[in-house]
Amino acid sequence: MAEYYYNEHSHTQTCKFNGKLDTDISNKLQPEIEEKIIRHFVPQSESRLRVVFDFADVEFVTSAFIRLCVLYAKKIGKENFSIINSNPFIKKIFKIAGLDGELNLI
Amino acid sequence: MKSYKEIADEIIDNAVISGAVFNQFDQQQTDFIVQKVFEAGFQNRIKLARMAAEETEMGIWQHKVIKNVVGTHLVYESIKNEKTAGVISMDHATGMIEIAQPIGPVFGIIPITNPTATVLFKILIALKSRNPIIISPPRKAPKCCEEAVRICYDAAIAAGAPEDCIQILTETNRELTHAFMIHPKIALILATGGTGLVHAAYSSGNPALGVGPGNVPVFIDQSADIPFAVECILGSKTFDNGTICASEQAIVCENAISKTLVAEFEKKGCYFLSAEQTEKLEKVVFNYEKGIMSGDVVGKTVQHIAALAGISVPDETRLLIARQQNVGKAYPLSQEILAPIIAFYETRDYKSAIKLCIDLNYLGGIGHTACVYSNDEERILEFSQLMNAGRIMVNTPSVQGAVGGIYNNLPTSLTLGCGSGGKNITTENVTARHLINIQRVCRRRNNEKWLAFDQENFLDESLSTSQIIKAYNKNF
Repeated sequence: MAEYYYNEHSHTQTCKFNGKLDTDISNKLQPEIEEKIIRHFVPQSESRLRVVFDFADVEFVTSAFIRLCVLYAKKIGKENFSIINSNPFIKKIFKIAGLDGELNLI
Repeated sequence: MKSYKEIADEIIDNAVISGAVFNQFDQQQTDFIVQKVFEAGFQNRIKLARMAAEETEMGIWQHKVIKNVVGTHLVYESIKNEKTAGVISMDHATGMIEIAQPIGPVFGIIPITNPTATVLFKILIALKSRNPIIISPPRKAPKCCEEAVRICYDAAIAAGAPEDCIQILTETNRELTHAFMIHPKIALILATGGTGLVHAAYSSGNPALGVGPGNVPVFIDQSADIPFAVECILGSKTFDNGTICASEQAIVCENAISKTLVAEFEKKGCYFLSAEQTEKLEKVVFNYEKGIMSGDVVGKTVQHIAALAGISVPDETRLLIARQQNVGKAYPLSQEILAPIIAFYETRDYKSAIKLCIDLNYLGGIGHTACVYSNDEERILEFSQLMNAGRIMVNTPSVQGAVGGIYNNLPTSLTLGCGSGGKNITTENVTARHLINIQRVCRRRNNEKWLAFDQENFLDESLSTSQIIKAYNKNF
């Protein structure tokens, strides 16, 4: 469902997801993501944690997963969150939802 | 406490996300959800009808069951084979591919006269077109609408629909409704209700399909089968105590058949009011301040209305009929009254009858529905051309005919387009296909005439139109 990589040098947590991110999977993923982020997140630290959601292998997203994205973008700061490698169909979902800018979808 | 705008923002943002997710569903997934929601709504048709009748204190619960059946079973039958997701048509000859895209959050405003049936109908057509819907229930019928939404939502989610695909406002007032109607993220307002509401929807700046009042004239021609016509009118006008906007409002006939017609109505349990009783009735059926029918009589029984007006009528009376001479704002019974009351006009000849129907049709019911009983093809066609109505019912009960799917092949709908006369964009029965954007992929298919023609000719003022057209069509 997900693989996690932390780059100490750039202080970046990458979460690489795959397949269909439905409601059940989103609920299972949330504690995992939370744990990875909390481990490296120091509030008000000068060296800000960056979080990258890699969607290279994501085929489908639900409202529950979109909400997770919004939740973590808010938590760590919009400027430190981004979504990369989404396929055009997934990009369109975020575009329709009006969240592509807010979530720095690249 | 949240402002109305904040409430609207929150609910609509959820709907937008839901709509975005819904965009990923294909036709098969969509159809499965629609089928499950139809089944759940249909299964609960009786419970919801009872709730609606009790909460609104309008209509007859058994008839509301039928309305719920129309809003689920017939609507489902009407839309189940429609293509509404992805590629919906491919024409190699024209090189055209059509792709259906959902439009986004739909704001569905529900009328008090048909609450649960309209909720079920609007939800089914929204889901079929992969759109999230936000239901705005009438102030006096929130509980039955909430229950209808809950039943549909649970079934939709169990079938895999996106979260928040159906939402309902838990409070309703004019300001909150306005906040939703003007919200920039609302894709379409599906408004069914009174003139003021429909006007507000059209003034919101968002696309709207609004359906307001009707004022259905019924012309009974000399060639009509009178017992048949009377039976049809009774079955339609008394259905759910007259709460449907497509119900007959005035009967128009020539003197030559009026006696037979009156006798037939009386035989079937209708009561013709005296002039004095009519005057008493007018005072209770009409709100003179607002210039519309009084809410006190909408969907009430004949006996209730008669008691309200202080009129004594036989216990078994099915319909009150008031003889009228004139049409206009000064004559309340010439206007729409959603109750078992109907106006009755006699005219000296056919032409006068049709002219009277035109007056009735234009008195608040433009674009809605008109009805004719006749076996004279020429007259049927003439009547139809003279009415400004999206639906002209021929030898058909107006209510059951206008909604489609029972007596004709109109798409089944509880939102009946009234065309430009009713300030609508369509005269059609609104259904799922009105809730999709159709993209047209155009493959190259050359217009050979255009390409073969010397374009310089268009710049030559010495050539006449006929010379240019002749040259343009040469060798084709």
